[in-house]
Amino acid sequence: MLGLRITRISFRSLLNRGSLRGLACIYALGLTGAESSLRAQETGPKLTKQETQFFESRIRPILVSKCYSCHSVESGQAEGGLRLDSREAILRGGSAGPAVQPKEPTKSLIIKAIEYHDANLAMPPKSAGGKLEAGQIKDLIRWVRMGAPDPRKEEEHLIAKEEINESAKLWWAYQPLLKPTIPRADTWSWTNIDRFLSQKHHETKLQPVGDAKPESLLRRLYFDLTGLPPSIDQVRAFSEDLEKGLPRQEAIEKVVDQLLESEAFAVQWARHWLDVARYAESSGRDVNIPYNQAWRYRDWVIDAFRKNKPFDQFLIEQIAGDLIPTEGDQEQAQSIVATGFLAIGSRNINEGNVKLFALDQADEQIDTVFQATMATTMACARCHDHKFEPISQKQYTAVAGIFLSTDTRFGASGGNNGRNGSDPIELSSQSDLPSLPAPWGDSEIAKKREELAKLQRQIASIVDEIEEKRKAAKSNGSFDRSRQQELRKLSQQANELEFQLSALNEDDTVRPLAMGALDRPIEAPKTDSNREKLNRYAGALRRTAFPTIDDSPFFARGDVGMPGEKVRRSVPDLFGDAKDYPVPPNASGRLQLAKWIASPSNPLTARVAVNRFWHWMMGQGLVDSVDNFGTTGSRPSHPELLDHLAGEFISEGWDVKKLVRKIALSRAYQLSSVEPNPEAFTADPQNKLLWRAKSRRLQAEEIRDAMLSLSDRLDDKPILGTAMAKKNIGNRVDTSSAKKRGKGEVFPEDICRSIYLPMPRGALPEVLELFDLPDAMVVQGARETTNVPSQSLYLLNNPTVAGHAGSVARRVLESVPGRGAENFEARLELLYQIVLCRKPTGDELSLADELFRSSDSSDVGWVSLARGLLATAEFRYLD
Amino acid sequence: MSLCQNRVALLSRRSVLQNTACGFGWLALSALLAKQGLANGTSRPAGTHFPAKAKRVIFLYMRGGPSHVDTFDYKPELAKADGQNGPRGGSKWMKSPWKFQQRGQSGLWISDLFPELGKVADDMLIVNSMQTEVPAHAQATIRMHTGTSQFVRPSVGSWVLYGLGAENESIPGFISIGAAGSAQNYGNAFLPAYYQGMRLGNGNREVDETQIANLAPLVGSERQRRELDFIQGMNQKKLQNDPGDQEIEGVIRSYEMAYRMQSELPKVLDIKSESEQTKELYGLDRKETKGFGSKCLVARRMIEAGVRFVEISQGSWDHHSNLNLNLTNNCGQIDRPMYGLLTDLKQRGLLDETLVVWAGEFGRTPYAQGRDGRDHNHKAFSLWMAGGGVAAGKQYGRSGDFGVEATENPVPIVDYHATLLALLGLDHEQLTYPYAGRDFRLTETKGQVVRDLIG
Repeated sequence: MLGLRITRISFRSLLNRGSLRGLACIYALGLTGAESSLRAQETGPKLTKQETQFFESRIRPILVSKCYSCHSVESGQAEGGLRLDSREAILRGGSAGPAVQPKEPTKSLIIKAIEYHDANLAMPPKSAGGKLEAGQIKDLIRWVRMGAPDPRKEEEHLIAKEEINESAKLWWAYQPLLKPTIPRADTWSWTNIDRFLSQKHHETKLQPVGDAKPESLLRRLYFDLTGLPPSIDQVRAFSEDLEKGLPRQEAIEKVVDQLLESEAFAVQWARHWLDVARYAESSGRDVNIPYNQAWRYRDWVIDAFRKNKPFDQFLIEQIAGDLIPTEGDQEQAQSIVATGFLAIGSRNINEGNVKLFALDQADEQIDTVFQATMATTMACARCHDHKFEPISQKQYTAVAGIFLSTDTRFGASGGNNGRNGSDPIELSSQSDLPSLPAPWGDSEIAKKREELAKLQRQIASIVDEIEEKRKAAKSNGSFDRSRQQELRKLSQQANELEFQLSALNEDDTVRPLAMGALDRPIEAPKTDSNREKLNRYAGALRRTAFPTIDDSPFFARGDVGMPGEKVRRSVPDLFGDAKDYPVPPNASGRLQLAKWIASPSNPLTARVAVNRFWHWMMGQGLVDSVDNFGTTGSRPSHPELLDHLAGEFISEGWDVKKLVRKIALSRAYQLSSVEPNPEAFTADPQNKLLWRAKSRRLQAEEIRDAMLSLSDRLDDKPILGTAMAKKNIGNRVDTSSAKKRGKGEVFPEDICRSIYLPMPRGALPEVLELFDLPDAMVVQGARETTNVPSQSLYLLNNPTVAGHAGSVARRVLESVPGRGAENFEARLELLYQIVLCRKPTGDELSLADELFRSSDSSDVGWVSLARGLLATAEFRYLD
Repeated sequence: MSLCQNRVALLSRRSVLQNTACGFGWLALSALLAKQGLANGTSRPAGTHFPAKAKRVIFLYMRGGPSHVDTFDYKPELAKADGQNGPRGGSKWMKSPWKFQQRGQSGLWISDLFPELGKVADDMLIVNSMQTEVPAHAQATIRMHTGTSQFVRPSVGSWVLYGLGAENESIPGFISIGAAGSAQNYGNAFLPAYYQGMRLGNGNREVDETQIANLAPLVGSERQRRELDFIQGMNQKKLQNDPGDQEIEGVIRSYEMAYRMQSELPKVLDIKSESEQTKELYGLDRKETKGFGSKCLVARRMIEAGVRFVEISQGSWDHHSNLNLNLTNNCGQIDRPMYGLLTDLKQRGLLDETLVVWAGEFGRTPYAQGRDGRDHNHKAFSLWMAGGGVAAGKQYGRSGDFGVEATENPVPIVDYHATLLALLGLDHEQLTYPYAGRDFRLTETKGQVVRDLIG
């Protein structure tokens, strides 16, 4: 049985966990220019590389996490007059004398203290985590024996912080958007985008390659815009336009405009955003609990792209949709659904410390919101001032208060006995949003209700018994815990039933539920005494550590066990206009945060957005690190172009389709991706200057959807919910088919677009996972691409793929009827057209002929050829 | 993937390509590439940091947290205090229902639950002072496998494969048998997908090739070869159009391994060809030991085939109640097979270079839970190691008189990980992977090699 007990986490373990990120970041400090300049100013003895490394990797983390809270300038504490935050301070020591005698561990007070020999001197005190780990003690002894090498100079932290802040503030991404002049027209350029690029080509004397072949370009456009290949008819219509003498650019424009208005466009681009939003349908971490309402957020995103919702509004609704004025129940319900963005993240749902659970959740939200919208690693400042960005821990805490004041309703049954479970939001019944029907019949529902009532009676009686026993135990000292075990079991069962039945009203009609976020109340609601008893005796731990709208305490070193003074909620004062968005005392502040993020004067948001769309169209961003615009990220290859596009994006009403259209119609987008240019390759092998188009591997969904489409089986209509959500199970992810599969039976999930498949974390659909669907743990604006043998095995041996190959072969045989060799070429041409959107070459003809001739029958031969083509690199790559 | 890397090498590779026929000539080339460390998506450090004791690992993972005080941690004081008040309000010490004996020349104390394994005690190193952070299964399991439960990190097997590289390009270098729970336990996290563990089977079910997705060819081998020739022919043509495209090269390479896996992996998994004597050695002749025994035998075959890291997950050991019965059963299932595995590895001269580790995610309380159970205990537990250069025949660390908490030479998970890497010749501070702006390690900022564990 998984952990049927109340999890106790030692204080030390919390300290370690809370400070882990801090240690990690400090470890990375060696990279910054700020630190190397500090080295130069150093006054102490020069350290060897090993000494520095030993100090940085072993000693500094201990001092920071275990000692600084009481012995540093930063904490404002110097207990016993002692600070341990610089070499000078340590040697100077405190009221008891120098803390360290270099090379003499036995004479060094700090070693005596940490060895806990003398109770009066024992450090760190129990309240700060108690005795250090043996390894840490050994390290400190070794360090003193080495002569206590210490690169920290007095006031280092002040200098370091200021230096980092000052230099980071000058980082390009934090500067206001410029309005660059559009370079002059030239013969190469078709659009403004091209003029910016052409200017760079001229400056670097790079000659761009020629334009892509029409059939490659068409395939590229269809996949990029819709995630699907063009059909034979669509290819034909395009070539007829060209044959009729329609200029190429006009023919392309016609295709682009058509595609932008298609349902498939909405699906494709929603899927891109779902990567950024780390969309998935379960909690994913310690125990994997389903989020049965996650699909509503998915559908909201699709609808936003369908309707071309202005992107600033798109962001605001996801962060604060529940707080914006709306017209009518439906609109209100929709904008609450949008806040599902905040709720769908992964979480350690079995976390035994409810306070840590809340803080981790807020941290996950901050990380996601700031990275998704502003490509900023705000969450690094949870435990300390950001080492690389001008973000302080105080600013982080001010934002944390906003999210701690938010009631995140992720609508899940919870971990053990409902631990950290969360009720979904009930949408207005007038909202007319479709809901999933209950998966049970009337009699089944009645049975569940009875069962639940019975469990609740049993639970109540055991709770009474335990309470009596406890009273008795107080007098004689012993008390039998055996019934607690039973109580946990029963409450686990009751919790599951309660969760399932919460999908229904009393009259058995379905309640319209959603995941999302709401502001917490001003005053704490009354606690439910039955719930409290289960919390206590069954370890259910279903309670809120931060029940009201309130500011967050400043947690020293990000440690949940060390709350300090509260920091007023506010949007981060990073770009000067934060004061325009004051957080009212009676609101969380999410609305202000959302508006600040989506403000035209925010230098990051529009740039980040434009860069994401550019990346998805061009295969690489103008800023390579699409999720990180901070000082550890990359610089833009074409800063003026980025600002030009961002500026226009804002002035044109954050119009996504317009932006995508602009990119699609640029000459840069339409260049060949395969034409060689050795000179350019040598000068710019990474193609930063876009002298040719970038070929890309199809995404997982594109591979699956394309195969369905080629075999004429794709159903591209939206699906309500997912196969998993339909089952409405609370306590485990279940991706098995809802009912037994009859022979030849086709379920919607067999032929729907991939976006509608169940997406539980850790159990993503096989084909999507194989081809690098992100695991949705973090914001991921750029996908990985791998080539692993399991992909090859899938394409060679998977029966579903074989089924597609069979369908494609059938199409070919039916379209070109008749027997005999004279049809071979015509059929092969059709097969290549269907799968690769082009005719076979002479070489390929003989390659195919060889395979075909070796086949026992014509049918076998065509299936082999179809499977072979689906398995080629060319099918998987977009030229 | 940038096109610029190793351009010169690529040019020479292209010339190799041109000189090979379509299709399977790539085999030789991929071996060449692997040697040069140029293979797509598998860039890894060359060589070990210091001479390796072990080359491969078999990790016998006991899911659920086996009781240390009933198996490998002898507690005479606990027996004396049986029934008396324990450390927590209301708790009572509970002695082990099993007797302990000193085994082998080395005199290691092992309980009567392991009569067979006890015969090879001199090959074992027992650590009684293991510690982990949280007494919750999922977190402790992920910590055991990746070093942290707070963040998503690569599993030990992925790090080992990354550090040492593959020995055999026909089968994956990291295989996890019977894994249950989070995929993080065999996940590559930010390491290239090449280092991901291949999961084989689920829970305690027996393993065979039917459990590997898409491994069985759909068509006859002749047909498949011809299809592959066609596919690779098309791929080569594409590569010729854009020479040096690493991604296309990667596709070509992955087909080669996939093709070979189809025939190699079933061979590795086919234990029928083993002698009756060997089968008996692993306990395949008895119902209760057959399951785990066959996995141990498969693990040996994998090691022989060059897999770097094999994990066998076995459970559950979560004995909150019915300890007497269930622990007897659990140990009965693994005792003979583990003896068989160590003995067989030794006979074949493989034990020296194969590190075998037996561990759960934590231990259990020396005081009773209910009448016949023990609760989770993360402050002390035991593991044993064998082969691979460990200090065999030795017992290390203490968990006090009762087994509540590691009191002497505690070994946190990070130190265990650092030591494991050290046995493989890898320095845990140098084995890093650059990701998101910094170099990551298995042991993050901590970890110390426990020298006393190394022979």
